[in-house]
Amino acid sequence: MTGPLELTDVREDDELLDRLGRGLSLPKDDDDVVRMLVDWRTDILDDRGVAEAPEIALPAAPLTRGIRVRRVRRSVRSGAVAAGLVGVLGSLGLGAAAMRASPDSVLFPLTKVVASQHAESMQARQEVQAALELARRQAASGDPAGARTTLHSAHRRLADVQPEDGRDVLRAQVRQAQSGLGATPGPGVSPTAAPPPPGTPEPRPTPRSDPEPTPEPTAQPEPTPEPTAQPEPTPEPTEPTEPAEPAESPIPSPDGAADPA
Amino acid sequence: MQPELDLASLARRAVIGDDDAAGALLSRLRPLVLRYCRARLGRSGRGSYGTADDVAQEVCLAVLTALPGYRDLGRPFTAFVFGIAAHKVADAHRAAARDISIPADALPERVDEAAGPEDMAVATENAALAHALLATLPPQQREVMVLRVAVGMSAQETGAVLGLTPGAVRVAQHRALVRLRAQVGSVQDVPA
Repeated sequence: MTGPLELTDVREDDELLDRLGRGLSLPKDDDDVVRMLVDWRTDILDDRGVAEAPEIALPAAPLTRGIRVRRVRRSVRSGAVAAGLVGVLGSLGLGAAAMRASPDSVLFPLTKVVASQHAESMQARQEVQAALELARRQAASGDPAGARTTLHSAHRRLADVQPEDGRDVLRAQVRQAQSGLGATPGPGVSPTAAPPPPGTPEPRPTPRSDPEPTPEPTAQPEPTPEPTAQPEPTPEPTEPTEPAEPAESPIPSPDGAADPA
Repeated sequence: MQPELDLASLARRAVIGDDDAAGALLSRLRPLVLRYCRARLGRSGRGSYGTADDVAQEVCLAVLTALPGYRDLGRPFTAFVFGIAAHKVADAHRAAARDISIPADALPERVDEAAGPEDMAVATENAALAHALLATLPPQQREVMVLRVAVGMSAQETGAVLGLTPGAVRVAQHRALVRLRAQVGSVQDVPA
């Protein structure tokens, strides 16, 4: 295989590989090797969109994976990677920031890697908070039905918020808002009763006596207008939006440089 | 390919605590590393890239771990990254050799013509065959082909990673193609 080289052939192959590597059309359609390499490259790039994926993602378990032992081993391995990444980020001063990163943060992709469940919870919390805010605006602008729908969605999303991310506080706020909207003087009152007075920005959704007729249509029987031990319905129980703030020196100690292999 | 200067600059900023740079570095490296690992490891026994993608994660982790030492090495940043990736892939090959659930690469005796829906099946078979054929190349030629075709590096960038001149890369890739063409010819000549 190491015979004399034809410079023209070398140059042609170089151009061929340049085009192949960039995904450009190829002149040598009749070359079986080129066809194979094109399919190989396409297979590598097309499977789950390598080029576009912004994060280190754990691939969804394919349907064809049927061996239990293999699945367990894989999850252990992924867990080990995530755990290791936490340590590494910590050594770079990024660990705490990544763990606290909000969905708006540039570090949120790292959060999804090192703590995917927590990231999902953060995302859900943000959505519930946004829904609460929207419901307040809807109520204030005379759209109680819209507010109810929004609160219903928020209530369902609450299940994805972990307790340590303030689920109880958020649930109390949602219930407060729901009972505020649903505080009815009686079941037979007309649904077109007066909306809440406009212009009241309503910092807290305490139960109001505006005559909204229908109680919450979706299984909110428990009339707990005042959540226990939650007098302040602060919308941000723990402020997660501060991105960085390394907990330690940003420059790791020299012994933090691990063996690459 | 990401320009080497961009990646190196991001790496330097990440080391001194720039969170934005660390995030950007990781998101730019990941697709390159993923391509490399998929190209080297192929699909696992059950047909997915799960193992290769796991290894790619480990590579990203190892790169971040080793980042503080990068400046002392005085090598191109891509050489640093793909050097780590090559080690991780070698580890995975060794693990696969010990584990019967991840079959080792084997060159098919001939193209499987019994595959189902045609275009897709042919493409998949071609990809698998290409992977198997590439595995038969000498390590340096295989590495050149992976970086050139799968990762999308130029001859110059590939040379920077492997410590070769661009001319040496061009010769290596030409020899690799000659060898692959000969292999394909011999495989197709096998009587059915």
